[in-house]
Amino acid sequence: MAAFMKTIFGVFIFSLVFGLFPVRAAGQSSADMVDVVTPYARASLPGVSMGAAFMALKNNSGEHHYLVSAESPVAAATEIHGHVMADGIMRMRKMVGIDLDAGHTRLLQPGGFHVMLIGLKQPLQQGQSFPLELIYRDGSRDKVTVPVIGRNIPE
Amino acid sequence: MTKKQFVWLGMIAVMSLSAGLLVSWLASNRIEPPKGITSIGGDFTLQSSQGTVSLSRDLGGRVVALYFGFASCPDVCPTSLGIMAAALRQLSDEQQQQVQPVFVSVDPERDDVEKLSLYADAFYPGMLGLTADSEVIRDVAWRYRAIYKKVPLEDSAIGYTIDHSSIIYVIGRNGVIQSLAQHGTAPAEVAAKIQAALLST
Ligand SMILES: [Cu+2]
Repeated sequence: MAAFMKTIFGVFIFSLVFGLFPVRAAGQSSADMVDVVTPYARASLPGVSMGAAFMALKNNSGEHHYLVSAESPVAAATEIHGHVMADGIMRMRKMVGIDLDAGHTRLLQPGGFHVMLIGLKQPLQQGQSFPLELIYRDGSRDKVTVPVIGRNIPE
Repeated sequence: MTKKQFVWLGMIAVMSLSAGLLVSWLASNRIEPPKGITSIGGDFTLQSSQGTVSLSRDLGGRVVALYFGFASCPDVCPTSLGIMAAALRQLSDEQQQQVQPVFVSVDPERDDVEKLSLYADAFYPGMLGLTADSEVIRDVAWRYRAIYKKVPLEDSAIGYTIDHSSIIYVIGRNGVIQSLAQHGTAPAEVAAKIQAALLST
């Protein structure tokens, strides 16, 4: 009986230790499963303390993830914004979050979603980069370095 | 045919002939409306850091590329002004000298002329940054059918945003709008519109 209990206990310990891996794999954090691809911001303009960061968010998992906010030390406030173009009118609004559908890539790009940097403490200068943290609904965070590119639009 | 009928017929023939001649004379002497889109646009007088700028008085003789927006617009306005600048850079130096790019801020509350001058110049050297009292802006925007609306964003640190149309107006040397480039038009296409205005006015 004692040997039996020992075996049960052993199995329990075994599953506790090794079982953690499959358990984790089934519910990995959003930060683990979402790749942040080619982030960038454009150099800020003279006299303007607003900026925007763009990137692609690639959800590699079979599950849905959700971006809820962002933080950056370069701005007084960092928010997630989206644009809607309707009847020729551009409307920018603060978003509660951005849906990241399973297996899909969501683009944050001009005219669409962006991470809005409000109250820049210093101008964003071409060639520099700044830290940005993306925060998902599960509380996990992606630390991103955002390079600042020039203002010129390619022809 | 009786003699009376013949006279009548002759009179009718003469009358229709003269009516036809009158119509064609009127058509040939009709005052030609200025080339372009005359239903919108027109002269404007706004403020720059260098003083008053009037389309007819100060910019006449040049083709004007005009855009309405606001400086704290994080994405849409900079993209459009960047496209405008890229379009201009596709023109020859000689052509560029005959084009005046103009940015008009519909947000005089946050944008003063000093700021706008530096802002516009950052996109393209010599681009004018203009604004005026809100009543004047409202009038000019109305005449150009540029739509804008201040919208408070209660839960956002930006306080308010401005919903707005995003159009590049290409105004000919005659002060009349020649063409419009809707938001997202590629630089090459904007350049072609400017070139057409340079050639036709
Ligand atoms: Cu924004």
